Amino acid sequence: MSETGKVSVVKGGMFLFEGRKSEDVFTREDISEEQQMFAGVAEEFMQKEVMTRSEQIYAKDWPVTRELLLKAGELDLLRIDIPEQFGGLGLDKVSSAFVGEQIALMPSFGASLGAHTTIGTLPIVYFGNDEQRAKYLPRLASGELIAAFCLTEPSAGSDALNAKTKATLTPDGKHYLLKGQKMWITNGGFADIFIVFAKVDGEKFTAFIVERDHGAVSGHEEKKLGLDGSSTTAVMLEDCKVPVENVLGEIGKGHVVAFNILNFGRLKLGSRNIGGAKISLNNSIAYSKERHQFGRAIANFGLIKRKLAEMAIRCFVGDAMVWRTLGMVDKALENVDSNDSMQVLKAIEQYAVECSIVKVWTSEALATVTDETVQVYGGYGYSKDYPAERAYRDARITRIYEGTNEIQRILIPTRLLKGAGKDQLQNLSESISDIIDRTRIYFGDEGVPTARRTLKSVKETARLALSSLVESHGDKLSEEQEAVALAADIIIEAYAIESAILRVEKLVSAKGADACRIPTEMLRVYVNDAADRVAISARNLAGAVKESAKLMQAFERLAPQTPINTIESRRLIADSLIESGRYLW
Amino acid sequence: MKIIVCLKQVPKNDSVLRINEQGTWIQDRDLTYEINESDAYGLEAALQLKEKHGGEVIALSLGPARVQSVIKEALARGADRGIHLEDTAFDNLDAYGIGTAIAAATKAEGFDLLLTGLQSDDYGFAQTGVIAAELLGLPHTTIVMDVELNDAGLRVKRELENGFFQWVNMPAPAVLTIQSGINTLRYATLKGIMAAKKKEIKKLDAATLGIDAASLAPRMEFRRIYLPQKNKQTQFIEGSAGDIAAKLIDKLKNEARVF
Ligand SMILES: Cc1cc2nc3c(=O)[nH]c(=O)nc-3n(C[C@H](O)[C@H](O)[C@H](O)COP(=O)(O)OP(=O)(O)OC[C@H]3O[C@@H](n4cnc5c(N)ncnc54)[C@H](O)[C@@H]3O)c2cc1C
Repeated sequence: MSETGKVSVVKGGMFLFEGRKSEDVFTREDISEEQQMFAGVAEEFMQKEVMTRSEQIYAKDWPVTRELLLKAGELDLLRIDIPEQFGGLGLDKVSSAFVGEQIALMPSFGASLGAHTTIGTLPIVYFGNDEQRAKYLPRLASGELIAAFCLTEPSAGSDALNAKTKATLTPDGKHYLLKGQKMWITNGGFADIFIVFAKVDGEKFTAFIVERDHGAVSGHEEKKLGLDGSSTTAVMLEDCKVPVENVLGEIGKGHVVAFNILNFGRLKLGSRNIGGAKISLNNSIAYSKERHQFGRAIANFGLIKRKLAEMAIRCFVGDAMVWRTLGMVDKALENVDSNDSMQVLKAIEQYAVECSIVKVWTSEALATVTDETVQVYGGYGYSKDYPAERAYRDARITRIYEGTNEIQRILIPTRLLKGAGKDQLQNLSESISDIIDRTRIYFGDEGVPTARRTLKSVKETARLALSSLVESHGDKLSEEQEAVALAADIIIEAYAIESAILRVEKLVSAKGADACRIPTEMLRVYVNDAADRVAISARNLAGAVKESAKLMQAFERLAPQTPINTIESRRLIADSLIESGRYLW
Repeated sequence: MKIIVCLKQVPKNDSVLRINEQGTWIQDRDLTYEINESDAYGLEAALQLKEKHGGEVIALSLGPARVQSVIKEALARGADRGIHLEDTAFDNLDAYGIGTAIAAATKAEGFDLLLTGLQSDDYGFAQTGVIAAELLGLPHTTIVMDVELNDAGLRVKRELENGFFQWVNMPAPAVLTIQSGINTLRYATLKGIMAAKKKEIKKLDAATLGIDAASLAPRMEFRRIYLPQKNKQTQFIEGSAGDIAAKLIDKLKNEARVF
């Protein structure tokens, strides 16, 4: 697709070490008319078909869910990422994520559909051979077959490679016998196709395409905190007999399948998370305008306005991060042969850090927004008769699955140090003094230019954090998780701030500064607060590493800011939300 | 059978409505748009007739560049091609002006059946289709719920009042204005949306259609538009209990009209 044609390919993980211009990045505003139409179909489908059957879906009436998935297939909503020669549309990730955002209208159904199209189907798209792709993809595309992804086990969660499930070749060499148990499998209760990870001979971690008839047995439905309308079960594999042709990818290379697919999963979860946050925000706006206390709509109260504004800021910044990353991935994928799965994987793998950042940031944004929505609704927020309660429960899982946020926080600095940062952070001790020399206290507040200066400092801080981690802990980093996570928090903010700046700059150049008053205010407030969060993380890190005096000095220089009137800014943002009745960016 | 369906782009019904500075209409910069509801049923009726009897469905819309999106929507749902009537002379027309432009364009194109919605969700005039039919000199039927083809032409079901309806036989070509809710609207599919890109949308302006701009001059204008004023009034009814009850009944019946 040429939708992202304007955007140039950037190397993954490089955002800390290079500058970006707004014309280099994809933003939500770049979504094409055709992609808007795709999303329109998904939204109409959700409103008319899915929301109207919510009672049955929440009652775990799986035939209804299956019927709806089939209907989604008829509308082509399940075939977006599948290559054309296998019954798909071969479209880009921006298209599939934008459709995914609409599905967030009901997170339970979103989980069923998302697990099928992303972690269920993509392993075959990217790792299947032509026979496997021809055999399964057309029927996965239509929704006739539904897929599930079986990585987690009772004793192997975050430590997924510690799987106990074994695969043993039968004496005739024609089958593998799979034996073990998978846990927490989305679509487990009704899926037909399972992407199962098992160890060949108890050693070689390998992916398999398992059909239910091969002997996969569902456990009972888990009683969950949220996602009541999505199936989550254990999957038992007792001498499950899988033909050797169903080995997916190479024997012993299952981790490549699992981790790469989860990169896509995390990125797409990002668009669903912010989609969900926007729904909650819109509910909060509507409710706060209707609910009267002390003779006024509660939307008139400063503390409610503060909440509305804060939710909007999260939605705006989150979208900036999500669409920037999606655009980056699409651009990289455009330049590789889509049939050469190794090339495709290399292209996406380099963005693992960005995908992790998006996953962590958006799931925590969703948590804040759904929590504050309960608060806006007051006692009614605690009631099952109002939408805030379910949204709050449904949101909770997003910080856990697709790799917990703790694991992501470890991965972000670790991967940067192994990847992009390796070349960039040579001569570490020198670079610390350089950084100290370069950092300057700044004053003044002119909106975007100030944000740009803050970004520069935050990026310096992030690099400093990374190099000081290595200097202090060297190869024992894995035992210093708290310090690593502090660095991760700084890096995440750097990406968030930069993405928000780029989006506002792009908006302003398209629409003019006057029309972008609200986005500019959202940026100012976000950057103001993020700079302080960075300073706190940096100070804590400085206290814990060697050379702390030097670091402290550097961090202190980064911290001071001219106070800005965030109260006024948030009121402005909230007033615009209240006037329009919904979030419009 | 060659069917032309007229589709009007109207503000979405959950749009934020703000009155413009002149107080003559709503501010259009705040609006998002969609296909007028009854027109969408017209399109579906046309697509179903085509599926049954073959032929061609042409989606026609009049308005600025943005109305192309309703034509594209129709193409995505299965219409074969589009006609976009675009000209600054077509801005701010009344129903007569729109009917004039539609009549000129459809006459030039030729058709067996011209469908419009019963009325538009924004102005609610319910006149455009009828005016076009009169200008074309063709028979028309309004509030249509069903269309069948027969040897003589068409057999059409009209909605009357109180749940009654009427079947009418009429010759083709004809103009029908379609009622909402008469069929099940299909979805566009993603493939349909992608295929729509390759379908033709012909643009026509007033000069090409041989329309003299003066003939489009509105015969009707909006003087002032305002939000309904909400006011609360409390009335105390006095007298004996019997008097009060009688007066209350009278007021409920004749003023509040609740029974
Ligand atoms: C509703 C639902 C749907 C799911 N769907 C699927 C699915 O479709 N397919 C699938 O394979 N799995 C699925 N999962 C499983 C999910 O991915 C795991 O629950 C998740 O990866 C965490 O594993 P765990 O539950 O074993 O937690 P654990 O790994 O035991 O983690 C417990 C806590 O310890 C922390 N922790 C663990 N290791 C470390 C470490 N090295 N450093 C620091 N902290 C650590 C974690 O962050 C967490 O806070 C689903 C789970 C749920 C609840």
